[in-house]
Amino acid sequence: MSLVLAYRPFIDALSLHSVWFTMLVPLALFIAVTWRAIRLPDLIGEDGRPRFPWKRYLTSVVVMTFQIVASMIGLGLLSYLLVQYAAPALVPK
Amino acid sequence: MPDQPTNPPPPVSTGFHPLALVAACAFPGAGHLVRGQIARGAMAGAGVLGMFFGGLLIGGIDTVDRKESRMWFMGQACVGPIAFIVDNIHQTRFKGVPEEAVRARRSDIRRSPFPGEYLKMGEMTTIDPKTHQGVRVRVPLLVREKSDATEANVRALGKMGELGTLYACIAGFMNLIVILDAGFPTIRRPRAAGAPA
Repeated sequence: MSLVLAYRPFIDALSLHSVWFTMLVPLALFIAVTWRAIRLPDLIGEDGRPRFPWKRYLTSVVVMTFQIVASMIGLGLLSYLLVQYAAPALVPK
Repeated sequence: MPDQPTNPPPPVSTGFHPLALVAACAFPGAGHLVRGQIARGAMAGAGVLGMFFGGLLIGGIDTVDRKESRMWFMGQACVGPIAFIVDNIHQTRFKGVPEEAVRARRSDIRRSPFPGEYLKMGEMTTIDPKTHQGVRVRVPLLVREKSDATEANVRALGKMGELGTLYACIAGFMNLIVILDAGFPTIRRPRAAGAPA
C-alpha cells in the first residue's frame, strides 16, 4: 500500500506486472498514430488545396492498431505451439 | 486514351527541405509544421511523444539511462533533445555518489540507489582534473539513514522496466522515420476527394 501512495508519475515504475501484456495496446496505438500520420496522402479539397484526410486517418489508425495487436497475438500463439508441441515432437526420444 | 483529370492536383513540394530537417531533429513533428503540414506534424509528434512519455510513465525515469543502458539510449536519442534532457535529469538528480567513490574522491562515479538506500545532498572532496588539487563539491550522496534524505525512485524491474525501455526506444525509431519524411518527403501525392484508397 505504501508503494502505491509513494508512486510518483514518470519517476517511479508502475506496478502492473500481472497485466503487463495490456501495455501492447497503447504501444500499437501510438505506432499507428505516428505511422499513418506520415503515410496517408493528402486529399484535394473543393478549393483545390491539399488537406489532411482526418476521417480516413482515424479509421486507418484504428484498423492498424487492431492489425498490430492481432499479429502479436498470432505470433504468440505460433510460439506457444512451436514450443509446446512442435519442438518436443522433433526431439528424439 | 486515358481520362485526363479536369482539375490536376497542385504540385506538392517533395524536395529536400533543410529547415524542416533541422526542426524535425529538434522536436518531434516540428519538421512537418515548418513545411505547412500542421495536422500531419501534430499527429506524428503526438504519437512519438506519447510513446516516449508513455515509456517513462510505465518504467519510470530509469527507462532513459545513457550510462547503464547505452545501446537502448542510442535508439531513444532519436527522439531528440528531450531524450538528452530526461537523461541529464536522471544522471544528476536520481543517481548518487556511493560511499566507496566518496572515499576515492571520485564525484563522477554515480549509480542508482539500491533498496534501503536514499539520496541526500552533501559535500565531498574530489580531485580537480586540471589542477590535481582537492576541491569541495556539493553532490547527491547515497546514504543508509533516511532522516532528511530524499526517497529514491522505485527502479523498474522485470517486464515493466523492459516495456518502458522498449516504448522509449520505439519512439526514437518512429521519430527517425518522421525526421526523414520531413526532410526528404516521399512520393506521397495528394488524391482527389472521394477517390478510392
